[in-house]
Amino acid sequence: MAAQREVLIVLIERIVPERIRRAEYQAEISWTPIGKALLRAVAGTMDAAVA
Amino acid sequence: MTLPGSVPSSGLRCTSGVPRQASRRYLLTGLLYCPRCGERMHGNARMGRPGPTRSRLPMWRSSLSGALSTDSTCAWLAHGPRLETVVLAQVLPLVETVTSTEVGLRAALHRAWQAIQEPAGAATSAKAIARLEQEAGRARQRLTRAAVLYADAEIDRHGYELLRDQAHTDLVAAEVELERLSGIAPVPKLPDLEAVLRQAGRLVDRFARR
Ligand SMILES: [Zn+2]
Repeated sequence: MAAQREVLIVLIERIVPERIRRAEYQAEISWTPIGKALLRAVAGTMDAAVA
Repeated sequence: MTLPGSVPSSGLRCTSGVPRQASRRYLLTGLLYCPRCGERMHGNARMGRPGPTRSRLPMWRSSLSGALSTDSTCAWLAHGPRLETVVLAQVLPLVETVTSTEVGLRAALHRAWQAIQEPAGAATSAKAIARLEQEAGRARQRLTRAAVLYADAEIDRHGYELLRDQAHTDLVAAEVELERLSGIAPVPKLPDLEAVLRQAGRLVDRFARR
């Protein structure tokens, strides 16, 4: 558990859940700089694949 | 969806008044904030609904603190496992992509990681900032020097004003350009990509292979 939590902490700064209906949720995730960088890097690889 | 390795969570609760140690063992501990009061949320299995599954299902909640409410606790509750599922559904695709062992993708990721840290013109901007700071420093010295020369009667008022105006013009020009360049986002300092991927892989190992 601790190991998985460590990974999430590297990627995620904060999560604000929202209940969309009974027992169903959405989560607004604020990413850490590393999380954002990974998202951008993945987006970059996709752009490169399309080009 | 069952999440192997996850502590059975029954409910996530907004609990600013609840001892912090109670929820240290949950996957989302420290990351969840209450949508109602903004407080950090804490998990607690005892907050789950009564019944046969009560002891296995944590709930999360926060407490409302401060003067906004006459109530000392915020009652917003969330179901732990469902919330974990929603969060992991957003995180795992990213993690699975970045930890892919496909050679082409991995190479592209390394290039993209490098590119993020070296945005176009960043190195040039850094050099320009250093040069402008030197220019501004020299202009300030010239202003001081002109004032000293005038005070010591080594130059007349006209000479002083000439030196002062030239130095002041140079100083303002350097400062305006420095301000423009300082508006450019700094280059992020990122850790080694492989180290990040190794760590991310641990999440996939536990949750994605099911
Ligand atoms: Zn709350």
